[in-house]
Amino acid sequence: MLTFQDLILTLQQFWAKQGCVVQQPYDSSMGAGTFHPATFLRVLDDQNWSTAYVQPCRRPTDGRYGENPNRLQHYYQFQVILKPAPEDILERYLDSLRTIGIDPALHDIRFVEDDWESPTLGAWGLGWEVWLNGMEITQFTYFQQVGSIELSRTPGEITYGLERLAMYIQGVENVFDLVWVENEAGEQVTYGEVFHRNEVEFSRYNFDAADTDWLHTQFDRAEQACGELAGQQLVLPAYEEVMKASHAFNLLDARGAISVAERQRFIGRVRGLARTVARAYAGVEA
Amino acid sequence: MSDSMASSTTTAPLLIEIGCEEIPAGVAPRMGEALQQAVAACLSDAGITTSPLKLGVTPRRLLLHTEACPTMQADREEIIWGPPERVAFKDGEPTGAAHGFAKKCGLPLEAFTLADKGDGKGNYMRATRQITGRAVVEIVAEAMPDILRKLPSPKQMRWQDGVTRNDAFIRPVRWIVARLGDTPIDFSFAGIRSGLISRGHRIHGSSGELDVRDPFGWLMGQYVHADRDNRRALIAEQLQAAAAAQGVQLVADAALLDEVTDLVEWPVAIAARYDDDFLRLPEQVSRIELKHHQRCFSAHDGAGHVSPVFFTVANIESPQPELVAHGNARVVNARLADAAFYFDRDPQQSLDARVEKLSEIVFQDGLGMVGDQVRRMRAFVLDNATALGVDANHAQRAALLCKSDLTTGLVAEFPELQGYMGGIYAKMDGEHEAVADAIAHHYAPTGADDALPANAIARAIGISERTDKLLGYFHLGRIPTASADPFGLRRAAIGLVRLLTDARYPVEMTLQKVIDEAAKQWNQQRVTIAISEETKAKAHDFVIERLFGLAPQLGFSKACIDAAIHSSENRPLYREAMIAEYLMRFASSEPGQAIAAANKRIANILRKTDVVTSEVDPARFSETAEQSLYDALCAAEAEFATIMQRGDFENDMLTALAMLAGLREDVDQFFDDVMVMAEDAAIRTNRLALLARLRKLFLNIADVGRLS
Repeated sequence: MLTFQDLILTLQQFWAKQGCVVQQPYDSSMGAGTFHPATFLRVLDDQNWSTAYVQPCRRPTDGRYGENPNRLQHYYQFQVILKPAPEDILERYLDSLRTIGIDPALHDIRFVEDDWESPTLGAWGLGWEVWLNGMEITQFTYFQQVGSIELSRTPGEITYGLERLAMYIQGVENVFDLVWVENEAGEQVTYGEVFHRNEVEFSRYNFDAADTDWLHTQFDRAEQACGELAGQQLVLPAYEEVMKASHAFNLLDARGAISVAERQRFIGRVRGLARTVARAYAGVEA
Repeated sequence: MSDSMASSTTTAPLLIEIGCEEIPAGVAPRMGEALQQAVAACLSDAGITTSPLKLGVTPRRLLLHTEACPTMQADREEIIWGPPERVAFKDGEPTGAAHGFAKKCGLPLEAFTLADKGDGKGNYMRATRQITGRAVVEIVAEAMPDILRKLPSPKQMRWQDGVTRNDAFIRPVRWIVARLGDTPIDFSFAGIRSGLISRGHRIHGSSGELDVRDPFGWLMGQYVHADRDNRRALIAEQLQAAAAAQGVQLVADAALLDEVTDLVEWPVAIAARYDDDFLRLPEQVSRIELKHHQRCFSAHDGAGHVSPVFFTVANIESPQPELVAHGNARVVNARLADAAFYFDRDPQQSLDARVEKLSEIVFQDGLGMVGDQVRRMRAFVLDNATALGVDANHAQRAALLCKSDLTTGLVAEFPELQGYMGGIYAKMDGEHEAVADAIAHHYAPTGADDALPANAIARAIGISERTDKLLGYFHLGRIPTASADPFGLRRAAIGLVRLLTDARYPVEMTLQKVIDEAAKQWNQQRVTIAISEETKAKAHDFVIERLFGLAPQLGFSKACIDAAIHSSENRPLYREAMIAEYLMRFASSEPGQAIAAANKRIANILRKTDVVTSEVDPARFSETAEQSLYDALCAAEAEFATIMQRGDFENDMLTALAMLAGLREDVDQFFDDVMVMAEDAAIRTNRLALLARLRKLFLNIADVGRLS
């Protein structure tokens, strides 16, 4: 049995052998592994860069109080960036599936068109969602633009949805039944034991309890700080404020504190911040 | 330049393959056809004739092959014309211009003679030059990079470093095979140099030299069905066989078959089955899930009921197809479980109770909420029920409830089911059959080829919604441009035209009236939005433009509908469309053409004068033709009035048009014999008045002058 943590360890091992810098999760709330500075900022420059890391992702609106077998407001992505994307990047990806026990000669693996876009990050790329017997397990993207900047070199981004992948491998129908770890005596710790309470409490927080006034203030302060920090060429701290603003927005959205009309404006504000930071990082005059 | 073909018959098989990462479904065939055309054009421009080019298209390759392509372009003679004799020679001696031209051509002056070009301007310098045919591999190699750069694709990407980074393509190109027999066609595109080595199927195949004589056969050995038509037929066959083995009927779906064909190189149809529990869901729920989300085919059982058996088309020949089936069923079950959850929960609140929630859904920033939209539509169908040909009570009910399904969980999860689920939930709520049916179909038509609903209430709501939307967005200034129509206004106007021109469900309102009534609802709602006359006029013009655009599809020409809508009458669009159809026949008849030409002439004459009277004084006639036309006109006017009293629009118009065509001889005679712009002002005015009256009679039906 491939446990949840074995899955992570195996993927880390695999991509480490491909020459990736194996990083750890960034210690700030974010909606996707793409937000990690190891992706967002590092893809902007001309240097070679390969990295792999697990990133917890927070999507407050996806919370279901721990009652839905497939939906979580906090889950894991395994993120790989290869810049430049090597010629055989898809073969390498298929090899990574083999190492976690998915044989593409037995299972139907498909690359189905999916053009990725992140309006908050001012980013888009072309690629596919990867299907395993009809189930989406990975998002694969060749970035074309990030932080509203046209990239001069093209990274390949591979984002595995770890819970889904593990559920398939373990043949589990409920995410909370995933085996996180199993010791030699056969004693198991499940995903539910690790995270169920987290889902229940954060669903309540996201939907019902989060202080919306404070979140509005946080958003405004983050926005202000971002501009000031970027002006002082403190690019990484400025970028952290982008992540904070984005997460505050996601929480406000879950709280139903943002109307549809305001929503577009908020997204535009975050995109503006991401752009400011991206330009500061890339040394483009504002 | 003239050619004289030398005989050069050595041929060799031509092979070009562009290998890519997975090309999006739907795109590869178009790119393949464009590649085929471009290469064919390149060869024929160079005077090279080949056996037919065969195209192969898969998600990973565009392949071109022909068995016999000349290896050399034929030698030919080129005739060069130089400057005229008067420039080339002075006093019998060649000038600097003559020497210069010869030098430029790389020929000795002696190679030139003087000859007549046939342009009547005397002699020119002339020489013939032998052009040696080039190697075909060079010609093709030169052309290929540009051909590839220009292949049509919706979105292009860049993926490589270096100087060729700007060679964008739909997905990364990974290999190129190009050869003529054993000779390489040597070129580079996007940093890839052409060679001999191809790749087979991603999982089952390997790399190797692509057989120049039989590339399709070689690829078949590599688990690639490169011939798209064959692959499509094979999938259809496999699906039929798999359905037969399962004892079910496949639900045929040509669009899905096309899409699936573009997703696989080695198709293997596999039967799977979702849980029987989900059979209680409305059929479209599983159908949409299987088709849109999973690209799987649905089935019916022997009795025509929905079956839980479905079919996926894998891209591998798995020794354990049950793994593939199980995986697909797992995904479908999870999604249908979601659907079932909502399907069970949604009816706890009726559509009627949900109307209130529509006040929380934004219709459009600056235009209020969906709740307001529903109220406007309701008032519209209620105010105009008779003209729309609907039962007022059912119509207002359907309009009120038609958007409520947007607040249901199932439609939130499967937006494709909007309307359809509304109809089902309406029935569960105990709404009248006519109401439920109208809700189910009020979005149609969604595409240009989509059928119109067979339900007058659905049509009435559709007319209201589309007009309402056009006015709202035009009010905000969000008018579509030639290239961008983000709010689907063009589609809305096209749907509106199709609904209003359909005589099977006549809408007895002019377009102007429809617009006025819709605008009225904006003006009368709680939070008033005043639609200006200017906005209304713009929306009107926009719809008329679509009417012109749709003319061929509706069965008449643009000129005919243009003539119809420029009559002196204000008529509903379905009547304008009828007249346009009759005018098609009228305009193609000999008397019709003559009458149209005369009308155009009359319109032109009248436009240049300021005579407004149509009072004719027969005492002032001086020519027989004047009197004849006048008599014929009076008779025609009387007959027209009689015809119009019968009140059978369709037949009346046909009869009237035929009758008016009978004026042709008198009109022609008039123009032959009579000088309209006579010197005597009184006579002139009288003649103009006669013509004005004639024109007025025609304008009752159409401005037939526009047909000429």
